[in-house]
Amino acid sequence: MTSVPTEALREFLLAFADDEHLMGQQHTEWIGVAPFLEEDLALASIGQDELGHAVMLYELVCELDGVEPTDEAIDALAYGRGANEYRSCRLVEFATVDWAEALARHWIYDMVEGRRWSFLEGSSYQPLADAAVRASREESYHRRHAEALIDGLLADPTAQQRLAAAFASLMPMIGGLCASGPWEAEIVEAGIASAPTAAIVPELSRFITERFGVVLPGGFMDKPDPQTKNDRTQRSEDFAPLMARMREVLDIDLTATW
Amino acid sequence: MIASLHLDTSGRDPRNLSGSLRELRSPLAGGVHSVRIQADGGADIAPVLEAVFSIDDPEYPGVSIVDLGLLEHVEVRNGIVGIGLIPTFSGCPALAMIADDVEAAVLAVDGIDEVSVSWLRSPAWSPERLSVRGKEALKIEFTVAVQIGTSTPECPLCGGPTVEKSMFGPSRCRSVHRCEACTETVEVMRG
Repeated sequence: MTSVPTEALREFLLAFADDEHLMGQQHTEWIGVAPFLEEDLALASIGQDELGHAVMLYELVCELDGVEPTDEAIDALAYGRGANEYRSCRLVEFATVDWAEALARHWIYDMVEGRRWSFLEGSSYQPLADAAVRASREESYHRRHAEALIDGLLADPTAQQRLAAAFASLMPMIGGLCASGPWEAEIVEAGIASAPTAAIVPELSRFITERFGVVLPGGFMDKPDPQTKNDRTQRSEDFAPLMARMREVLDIDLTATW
Repeated sequence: MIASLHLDTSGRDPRNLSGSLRELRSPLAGGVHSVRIQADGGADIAPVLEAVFSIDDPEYPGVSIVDLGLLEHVEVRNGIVGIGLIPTFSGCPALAMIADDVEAAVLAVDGIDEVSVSWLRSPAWSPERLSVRGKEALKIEFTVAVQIGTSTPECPLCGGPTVEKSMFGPSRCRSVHRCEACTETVEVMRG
């Protein structure tokens, strides 16, 4: 194995962990208010998986930092950093109460997430390869769920229009999800990932067009989202309120043991 | 001397395998999952294994975590025990509770001074790891069927074929099926 580029690996792990964490948290916000009971259950389970993946990735960050990956250490990474230390993309920070947008985001995110894990299954960094094999098994259900629900909805013209509108509104954020951070070149070079995240873009664009009739404009990746400039060191306006909701109970008593 | 053994738990009741080292040396062929056991020569491994077997999954009281296929390895050296477990899925909220239960049970064994339980990143759990006894208990005590690979889970009540109705059920590791024969709604444990 080539030597591990520790700084780049830490950024890379945080980017994926933060996406998983925030996406998981966003899914849980639908529990009890999703359109029907099966969706309450599905999003609870899918959210639980994403949070589990985030924990696996935060554990790897702890190990790199030479810190024992206790619950407290993982919580410190998940909830305790300053906004500028997060590496999430805008798509997972985005606040929406629109079911079509939530569903479209679920589909886009899980499509990309599945590929991100697949790029890591043969990782030269063994702990990450092990995590990827486990996560990939769990991911197949997420994509199947999103596809099945969308299949059902596309049969209805109103639902089809709403989904197309949702994809159009999320489009500026897709580039940020798929953008390779400045650290990814080193990660691919070291064999930690078999491809940069951006390698997903052509396939994803084609799938979105085929499935939803939304054509992603050529070079849309080069027109960065105005809020974050597709730079994972920048937070969007929705991040602070999301973090406040996530920390709501924690902040009641910072010394409490849960 | 270190004895290194592979204990096959998939084909039979794992509790019977904890009787003696001699018995542990003859694992059944054809299993998909084996438990790695290492012990120094003088160590009596049987009570340690029995202590691990005694811990039930919090989701299925009465069903041992070993029957569910969570046990990956046990190491006993000079009164120090290391136990490796794997979670059924990475977001399982019961991991700390299970590890605490295992640690307490093994610490109560005579001659054991120290126990460390770790959750391993590899291998990934799959329903194939369930023992025959585990599957029977899920079926009889919980009316829960098991999804092995892509096969059609059998209805725990009548044995009929079931069809998936929802990938997600009352907990993360269960989907909801319906029996085509008796029309019963059936929960299915899956990967």
